[in-house]
Amino acid sequence: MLYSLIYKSAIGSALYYRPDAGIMLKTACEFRWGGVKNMKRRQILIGTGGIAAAGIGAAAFATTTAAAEIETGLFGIEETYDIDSQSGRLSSLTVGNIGAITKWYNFDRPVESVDWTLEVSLDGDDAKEIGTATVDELEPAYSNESGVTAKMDDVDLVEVFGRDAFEVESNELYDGEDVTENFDLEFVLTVVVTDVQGDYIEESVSGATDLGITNLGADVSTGGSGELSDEDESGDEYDNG
Amino acid sequence: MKRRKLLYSAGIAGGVVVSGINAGTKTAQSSVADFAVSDIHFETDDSELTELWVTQLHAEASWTGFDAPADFVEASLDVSYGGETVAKASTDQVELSGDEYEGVVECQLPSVNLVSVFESETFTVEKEDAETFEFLFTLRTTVVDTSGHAFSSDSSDEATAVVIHSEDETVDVLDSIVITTDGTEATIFNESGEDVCVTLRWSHHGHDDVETHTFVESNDKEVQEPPGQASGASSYEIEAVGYEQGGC
Repeated sequence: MLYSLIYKSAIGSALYYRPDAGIMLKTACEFRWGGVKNMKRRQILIGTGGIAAAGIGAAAFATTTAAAEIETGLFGIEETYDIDSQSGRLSSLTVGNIGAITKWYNFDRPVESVDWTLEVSLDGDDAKEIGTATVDELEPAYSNESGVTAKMDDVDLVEVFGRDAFEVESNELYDGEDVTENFDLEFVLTVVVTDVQGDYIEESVSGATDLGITNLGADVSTGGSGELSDEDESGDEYDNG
Repeated sequence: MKRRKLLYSAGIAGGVVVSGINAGTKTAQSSVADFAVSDIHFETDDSELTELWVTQLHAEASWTGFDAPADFVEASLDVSYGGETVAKASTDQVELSGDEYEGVVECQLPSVNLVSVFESETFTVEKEDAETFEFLFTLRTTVVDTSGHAFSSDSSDEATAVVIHSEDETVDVLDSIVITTDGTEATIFNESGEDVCVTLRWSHHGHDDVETHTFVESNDKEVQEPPGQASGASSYEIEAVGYEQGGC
């Protein structure tokens, strides 16, 4: 039995962050999921088994016959994301407005539920689950061309990985030099589409970003003014004794 | 420090001293702000100064890129005179909230009587003389973070005090040229490093204004008599029109 699944992961998310200081820094960077930047071929094994060739296209998802064709939408994600930090530490790094959409075609039985899981790994370490979503009261449908969508809660990656994970230390304290470190974040969105019999199809797509955090070099500047005078009108003479 | 005589014998009677000698040189090391101390000229009726203040000491420190929040800021003023430097002649400290990795703080340092800071006998002006006292002021701010690490910055400025021990009245100041009068004649003190030709305008009731041109060598003085048409009047209004370098 072959199912044909097409789903598109569309996460339109914004990444927010806060440095340690009580100063909110502005950023123009965003994560953009759902664009088509890479396409992957995948083999899908479901139910009794079957191989679905992943036809990878651009933005369009061609509906095929029951010939078990799958198209996989890809994560589109900003390739680089730069943050300037006074201290080299972040108090929060939030992925927000996370949304997913999945479409399926030619199931032999109506689909009952769709489950998504979002995982993220930092610098190649083990992935951590940072979000889930489920839609389980679906109108029975063998195909769904318009797609089913879901939202996930915002995720603070500093809470997920810990503050130290994103810390950029100065080479030498207050030497005035900027220090930048890059962090590789890879996001994997997995969807499981389950029919009324409990058979399911699972697929994952991923996207990666290079997060650059700069610990800005320290600088102090001095300015001021004074007046020479033959009298002190301020009455705040300094006691040199 | 240089000690130059400005006034020798000058006119008598009440007068106006003209001074100016403003030549502060900014030596700011800061990339953001400067420190500037204004010059002064004033008259004294006593040979020994008891007061020569630096007042209105306003300091501003800004910091950025700290790895720990700033905890407090220290501001201090060093004063150099005659080859001697007195550190921390005036200081102030501002406590911060301890959560600022970057910020700006302002403070006011107490005034300093420079006569007290340095030996008082160095601040004497003989009668009918003038003295120029030159100082170098260095303002330093140190920002200390909550980890105890400190980062300093300083900015300097030179300032000059011209003190005239005379009963004459200052008429006007043209840069480094001071003009005084006792009401019947003008005394021109050239504090600049160049010879100059100074133009004065003399006004007297019932007569047209007349200008005189007086050559004054560098670091010297000249007494200018009233012009012929107005000579003999009891008093004049004198205005410094301008000067040119070189001869008249």
